[in-house]
Amino acid sequence: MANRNSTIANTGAVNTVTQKNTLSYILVRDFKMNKYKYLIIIPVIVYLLVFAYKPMYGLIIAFKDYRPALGFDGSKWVGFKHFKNFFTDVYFWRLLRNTVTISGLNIIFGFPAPIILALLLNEIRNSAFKRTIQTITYMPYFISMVVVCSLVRIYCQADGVFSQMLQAFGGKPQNLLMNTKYFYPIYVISDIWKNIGWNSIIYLAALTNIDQEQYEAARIDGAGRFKQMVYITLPGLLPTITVLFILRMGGLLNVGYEKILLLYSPATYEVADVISTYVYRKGILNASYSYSTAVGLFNSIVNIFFLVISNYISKKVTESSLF
Amino acid sequence: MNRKLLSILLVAFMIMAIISGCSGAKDTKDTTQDTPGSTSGDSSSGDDDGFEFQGYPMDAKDVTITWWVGHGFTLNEAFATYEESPFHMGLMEETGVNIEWIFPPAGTDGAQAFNVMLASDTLPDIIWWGLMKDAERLMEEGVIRDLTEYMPEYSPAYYKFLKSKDIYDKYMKTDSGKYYGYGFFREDGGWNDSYLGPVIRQDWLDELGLKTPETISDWDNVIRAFKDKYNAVLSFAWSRFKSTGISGAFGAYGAIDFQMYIDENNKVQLAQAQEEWKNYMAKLNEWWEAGLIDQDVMTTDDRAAQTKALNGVMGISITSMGQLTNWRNDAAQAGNGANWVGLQYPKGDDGTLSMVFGGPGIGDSVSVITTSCPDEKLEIAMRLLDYAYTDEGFLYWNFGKKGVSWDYDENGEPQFTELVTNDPEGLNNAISKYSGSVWSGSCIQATKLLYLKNSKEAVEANDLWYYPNKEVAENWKFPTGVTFTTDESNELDELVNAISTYVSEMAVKFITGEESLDNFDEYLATLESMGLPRVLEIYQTAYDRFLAR
Repeated sequence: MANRNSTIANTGAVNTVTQKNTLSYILVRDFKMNKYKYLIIIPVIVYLLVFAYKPMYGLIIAFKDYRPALGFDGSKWVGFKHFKNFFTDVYFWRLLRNTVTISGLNIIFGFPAPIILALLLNEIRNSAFKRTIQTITYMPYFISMVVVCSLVRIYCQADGVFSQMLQAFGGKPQNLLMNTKYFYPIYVISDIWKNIGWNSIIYLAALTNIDQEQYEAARIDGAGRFKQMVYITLPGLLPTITVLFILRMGGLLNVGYEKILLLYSPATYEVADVISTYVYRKGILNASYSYSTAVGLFNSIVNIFFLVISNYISKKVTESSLF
Repeated sequence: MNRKLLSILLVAFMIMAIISGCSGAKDTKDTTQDTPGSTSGDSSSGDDDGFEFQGYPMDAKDVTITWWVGHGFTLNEAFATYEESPFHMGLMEETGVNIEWIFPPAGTDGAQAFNVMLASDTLPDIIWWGLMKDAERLMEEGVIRDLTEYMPEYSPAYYKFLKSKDIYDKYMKTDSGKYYGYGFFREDGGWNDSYLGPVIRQDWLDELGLKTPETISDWDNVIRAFKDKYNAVLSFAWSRFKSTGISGAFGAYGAIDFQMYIDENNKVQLAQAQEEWKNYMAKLNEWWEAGLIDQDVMTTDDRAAQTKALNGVMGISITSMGQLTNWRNDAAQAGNGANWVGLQYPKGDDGTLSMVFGGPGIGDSVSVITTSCPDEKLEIAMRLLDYAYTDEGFLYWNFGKKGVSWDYDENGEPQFTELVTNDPEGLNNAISKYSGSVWSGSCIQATKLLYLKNSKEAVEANDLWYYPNKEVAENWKFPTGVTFTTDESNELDELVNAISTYVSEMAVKFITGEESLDNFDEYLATLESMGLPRVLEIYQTAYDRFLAR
């Protein structure tokens, strides 16, 4: 008897609950359940709002002649003047070519490198050896870019280590950083050396997520180590690779000026001068805020374009994508 | 319970991290609130209206002037706030005014700090920054004050100083003839503007029995001799060479960097478009092909040059006073007998010397009074700035308080006291605690200060670079005091960077031989198609306005 009553009472309660299945109710309930997760994410959201979204308003100075004294609103509108200025610059195509080339080479060689390292590390049985290798490959990441570039400059001098190595192969003594042929290899290789360890971390983490049973099954089926890598490990890593690749493509035009600035010279402008270094030199002359904002806006638009395209292609080809 | 505690702690930790990042900026704001005295806006004390100047210190302790300093006489890194800095506090005492100093937070970019400051609602009363070329525009935009009317009355010492030399007067006015700022001047005119030049190892010259090289042919001989005997090359830090190098010997006016100069007819010219520059490049190319120039020069900085000097890689070079002192110290420590001394700029074989590295001894930064400074405080602000150009102010700005950081020696010359010379952080560092003119400031920098600061050989080198070449050191460069209108600036903006890139690239190619100098005419044609004539036109118009001030 009591049971019957309570069931009726319960169903009554359930009914009232299901009627309130609105968005606000779901949110509130979700908030109550995951209170602390929301709390943790609040600083991040505030950070994004303040430092990423609010400053977007400043993009309007790309269409104005910004003067600090007049502020954002008081400066004069000039429409597309700065963009026109940029696109009709004598060196525009060269800058674009250099930027895309350097970025492209970095992706072609620099992207697979950490993956290969992670795969290789994964094969090591001796954990002490594995850990040592990992530590050694991580260390360069923590060395400041300026220090690395100083080292590179010293080694590339006419009597430096690299030059001597090349001489052993029959080259003549020369300062390598002055030769346009060597700029790209030096840039890409030093980048790989610096970042390979750090970037492999995320792949190593993803590797631990791959189901070990698949390996056993493959072994039973007679697959060797290499076949296991190709058919189990790589597909297992594919989602991670895809995400990171798309993000990387979203930075295609973002060749940072710091490293180029430290390594280039007028002798290598032809291959080393990129959009950011050119705009940097321009800024010294005239503190051209509007111009550099316009160029930055152009960069961002191109990057978004590539991001969307690579996401789409990835979705079609591998069925995993970022969004 | 444990997990809950952990998450709370994590969130709290992150919030604290954000807040501590904010408070860094807040600190400088807080100090502006803490100092005593009225803030800029409300000096309502009746004394100001009836302010009467009766010499320094002025009786104005209850008036606060805010002074923003972007570079130059900023705080020595040993001090956290200006209350600890003897120079800044002392200036307040000597002038009798309360000054609220504002500096960009340590480690930030001065230019960024300046623009952030400009964008705020109330500006400081005085700003010291490199805004000479923007002065006219800032006056139009209502940011800085026009001081012409009051200059003779409220800043008599400065006014007299400006009138003493025509070029000083020209620099400190806008094109429309208005006074607006207090600049940085070197006492001896251009002496220290010629702070870099050729240096040579005297001991090697002596060993080889060669006389000091004077002409380019002499240089040729010496360089070849050094190569034969010591396997040394001509090398230098790229930054010390790329502006002019030894272009004067060829009648040229520049090396790698885009350089505008004034020729004998008062016309503006581009150094790198002249026939003489072609000859300069030809000579450098000759030396390069013969292996007489260090292959590494283009990526060599001061540090690397210092190492090369120590390792005997070079015997003749171009460097600055300060670096010369470093090289000499290194040699003394290593005990290798190297005797680096200053060397006269070489002349052409026919005696040509068109220019040497130098300038008129006027900085490009100024102290200006903003429109945020109310009328009642204007006279006090102008008198405060004028102090540096009076006799006692000159001594204070350069050496600090008499009896504390300096005193007269037997010859009646200022000498630093032991407080400064025995400072554990070194003489140079110590001087900047008491002196405001070491790097630059709105004052006159005493030559004596530089004598005290640098080694004897460095001073001798500077003498050698400047005094014999006085006429050609000061006036060849396109003056930094010239201002461009907004439209001119915008047009130059579009053209100059491309030309500048091209010039630098081609210069390097000519030197290394990658581009033959036979193609010089094509190079000139390309410059023309890039808009060089228009650029020269704009520079000329601006320069003519400058001359007419």
